Amino acid sequence: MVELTAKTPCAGLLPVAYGALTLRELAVAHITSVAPLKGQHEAVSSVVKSAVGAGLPDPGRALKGAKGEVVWSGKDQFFVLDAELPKLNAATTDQSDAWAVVALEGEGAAEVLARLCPLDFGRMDEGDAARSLIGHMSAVIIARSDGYDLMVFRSMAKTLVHELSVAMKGVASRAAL
Amino acid sequence: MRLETGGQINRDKRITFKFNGTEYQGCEGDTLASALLANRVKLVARSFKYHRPRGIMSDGSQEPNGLVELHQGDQITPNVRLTQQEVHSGIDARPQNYWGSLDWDLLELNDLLSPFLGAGFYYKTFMWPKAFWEKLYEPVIRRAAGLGKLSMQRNSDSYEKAFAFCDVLVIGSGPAGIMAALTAAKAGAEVILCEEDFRFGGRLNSETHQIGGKPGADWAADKIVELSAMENVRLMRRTTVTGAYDGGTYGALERVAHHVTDPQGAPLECFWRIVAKGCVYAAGAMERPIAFRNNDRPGVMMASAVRGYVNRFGVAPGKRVAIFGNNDDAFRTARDLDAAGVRIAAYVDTREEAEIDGDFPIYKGAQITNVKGRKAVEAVTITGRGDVMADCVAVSGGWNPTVHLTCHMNGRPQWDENIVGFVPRHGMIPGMEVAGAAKGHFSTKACLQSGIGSAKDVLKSLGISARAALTGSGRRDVQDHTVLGS
Amino acid sequence: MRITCPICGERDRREFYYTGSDDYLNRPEEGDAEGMHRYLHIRENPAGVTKELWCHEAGCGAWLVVERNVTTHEVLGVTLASEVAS
Repeated sequence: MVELTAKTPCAGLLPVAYGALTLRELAVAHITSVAPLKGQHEAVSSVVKSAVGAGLPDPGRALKGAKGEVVWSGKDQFFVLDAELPKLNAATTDQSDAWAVVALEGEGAAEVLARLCPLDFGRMDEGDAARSLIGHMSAVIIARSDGYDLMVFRSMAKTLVHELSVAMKGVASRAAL
Repeated sequence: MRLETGGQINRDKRITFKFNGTEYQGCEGDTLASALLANRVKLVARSFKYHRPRGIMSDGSQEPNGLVELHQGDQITPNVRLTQQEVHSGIDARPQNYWGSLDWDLLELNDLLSPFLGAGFYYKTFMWPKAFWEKLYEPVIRRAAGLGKLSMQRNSDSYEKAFAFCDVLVIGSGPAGIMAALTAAKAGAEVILCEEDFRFGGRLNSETHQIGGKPGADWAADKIVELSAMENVRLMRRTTVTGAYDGGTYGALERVAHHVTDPQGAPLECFWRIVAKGCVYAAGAMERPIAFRNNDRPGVMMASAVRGYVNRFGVAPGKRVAIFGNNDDAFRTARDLDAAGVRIAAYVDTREEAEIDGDFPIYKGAQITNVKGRKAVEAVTITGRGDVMADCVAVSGGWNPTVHLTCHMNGRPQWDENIVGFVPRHGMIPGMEVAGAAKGHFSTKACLQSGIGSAKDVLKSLGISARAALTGSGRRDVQDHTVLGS
Repeated sequence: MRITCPICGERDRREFYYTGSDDYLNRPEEGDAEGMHRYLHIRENPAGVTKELWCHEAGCGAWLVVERNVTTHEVLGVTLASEVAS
């Protein structure tokens, strides 16, 4: 039998730091996409709430619970992070290991993302979630107190780290000018 | 020639740089143009086709002559304007459009043959035999014409692009722009103020006007300090707004690190996409030249530039300056040169009735019809007077509002008989109000008022009261476009 | 160009993908050959206000009906296609 070694998407790439800015990989045990069936939003939300500690959030928001986090990830679609879910009246897919999840932190994090993403970060508060682009990559962006959690498809992990590193270097060097 | 006093430069901080292989000294606060003029360098370029000698003509981004190549190898940057590039110790600027040497350009022959080189001469003459075009004629002609060349290598410098958002974008930081930014910022709007120069203040830095009892440049500096202390204001200097696009999106090029010897990893330039709910356009005006024979000789300059070099950089572009104007603004140049102790060789005004008074030769109802001298001005020919010795000609043909950006979305400016120039119409760019000299208001007082008025108009359209108090952070949500709810 | 997505708010045009006229929302009855021909091939091309389908591809993924003036590029209104179709 072949022995396979599990590697995280950004293994060997992170962490990196430039000036006050840091980029590190986040370990997420499970990622489940949940799209409630028609008319089942409320019912699914209460089951998710009992399993995770947080129900389905409004569009553009992420809710943290005791066992995980529920992130809005598109029209009528949510990502449940970390927690495992019971059977739901929803279309669910296991997307664990399908996403590279990183945390960009430190002063100037919004300036770094402004180089890659056409969002107005001045209007994103802690716990806000958005779908947008990072460079040419489709991304999930969650605002935190000290920065942003970013998710892109696993296959793009290297590009994500490269693009963010270049932007971080630019922002950090500019501060030194 | 550097004056003893005056200007917003630091005479104690000397900076050595190279131009055309020779070392020169400039001061902190100089552009390459002002430093070269301080060193009495007049010939800086050659014209496209006839390779006529050319000198610095202006003091801003409108400079047509003073284009140089900077840096080496794959980092070669062509067409850098002497009038925009700040002096630093790493500069080795090279003139671009010559063959042989700048001083003895072999293609100057084209100029002497110019009566025989009519329009389309190249295309009509160099057609036969066919094979010669690609092998011989084209390379030679390409060498003779055109601007600087690219390195043709992969550039190792870094450049970046970025997005920014604001309620009110203010373009230009002269009196109108500063007042617009202050008005909008005090109302709680998020403001971005873009200035093309490395120093905020626009023409206030180059004129001797007083505002509120102090020099205009000092007033501007104080207001910029006030703005920089506000959390809802982002000041962007060395940033040229280059385009206006749909939905309040503007393009802007920021020269991030061209002013330092070692960028230390910072990008050289950043291209911004600025999304603004409203915009105050206060880009000022540009002085018009007057056509006369040999008006491209090194030493023939815009009158506003001549006094700009005196007032802002403490540099006299000549020892004997002839002033040629058709409007009252030209007199400011005479007044400022006189105050700085620069000799005025002649003051020539096309108007018989012009009211000019000064301790220098005045020729009313006269014109400068020719300039003598080849690589520098040596004399000017004045109607009814003959030749007068001069080494610099300050030309003032009135001012044109800088309407360019207002025309980016298909709008057409309108003719204004009072200023004999084009001014923007209202609504050429949705969400944009035009203020100050860009709208044809040429007095400082009118610019200040117009800046306030335009900002109020923009704020009104955004639903912000100009008197609204600042909230805690200085930020205020104007219109929350985010529509939430499932 | 900026498009205000009913779900995500005002966003840059690069997040959206243009997918044609809103005629696509009115699929003809099965067997209506002439109707299907018009549905697939015949389009009005007015110099003025049009209704188009856009997909907020890099955002929430919603399909949108965008009403805009193609001569001034002004966006006049955005609705979820699911609401228009139902």
